[in-house]
Amino acid sequence: MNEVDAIGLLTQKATDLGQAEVARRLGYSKATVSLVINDKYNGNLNSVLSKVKEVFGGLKVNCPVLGEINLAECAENKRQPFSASNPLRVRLFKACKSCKEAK
Amino acid sequence: MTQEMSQVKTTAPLRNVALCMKALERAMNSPDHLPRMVSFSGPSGMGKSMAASYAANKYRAYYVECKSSWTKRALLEAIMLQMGIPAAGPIYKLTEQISEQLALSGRPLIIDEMDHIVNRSAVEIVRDIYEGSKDPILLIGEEMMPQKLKKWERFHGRILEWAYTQPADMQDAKLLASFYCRKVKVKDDLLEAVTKAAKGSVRRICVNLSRIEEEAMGTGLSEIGLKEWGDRQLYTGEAPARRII
Repeated sequence: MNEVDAIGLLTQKATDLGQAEVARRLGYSKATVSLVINDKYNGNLNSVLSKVKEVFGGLKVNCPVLGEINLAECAENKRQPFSASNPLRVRLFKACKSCKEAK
Repeated sequence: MTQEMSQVKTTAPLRNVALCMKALERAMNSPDHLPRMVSFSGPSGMGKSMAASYAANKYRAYYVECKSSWTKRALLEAIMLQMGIPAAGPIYKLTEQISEQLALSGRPLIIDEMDHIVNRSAVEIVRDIYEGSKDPILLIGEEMMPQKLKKWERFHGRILEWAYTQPADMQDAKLLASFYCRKVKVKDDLLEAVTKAAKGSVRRICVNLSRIEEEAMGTGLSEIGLKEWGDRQLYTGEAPARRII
């Protein structure tokens, strides 16, 4: 999915769900969503768009530990800090480091 | 971000995985007037923790594995770390916060290596969490854990089901071979010998399968059975006898 597609996806979702709901799901402000849709955003567009792909892209990735999961879940997992008290997180921590899906 | 991908094999659907899932599901689906704690216990190497990881992922459970050095507070802090809540304040406050989070989220809690908690007599703290949330809790420990828990009658009485692991059988060995021996085909007679040598332990089967694959690759075989394996030793987990030179 390229940038234009991602903006298109965001616009579509904003029409379907409303900008407020889209903003809530993305974790960005309503203003940011509005600015991106109207092509007036001055901040880091790429980080907003990669979040759009994560949340609305519906893309699946193959996780070596968990099998087929959503991109959003993959992104959430790789952001988690190391935790020795959860063996699943230990395995994920090691796998994410060398995983091309979790770049 | 391509969509074409080969199927990744992660956790083999062994019998013990199914048993663990069933125990947790029973706790999750139990009606209000029944207790919602379940225990899953069995000897080391049976795949309890792998099964728990799988269940934790499937049901988005909070999952902690206890360590031998843990105090009550360490247990509470570890659970809170999994919840993403900063742990600050006295123990009773932490217990309350955990109960609140469990009750709010409705996500189950899995406590692995529960033996450490039992040995430290910190069992009552798990009961506090349970009573405070009435949330499904899966306790995992080694085979003597149910007996050890008898010391705490009030705790013991709140367990809905005592599930036990089953020794790995031929079907499990076949599944494991399809997961971990992908470069060579292991014939049934050798798999049967492996199952017998492993004495029910999934871990030992895995060690054997890895050795078999290595040997087969080394000798250039694509298929290996008892005949090709010959009189090589299988890994039984026995420590070697003392050798005097």
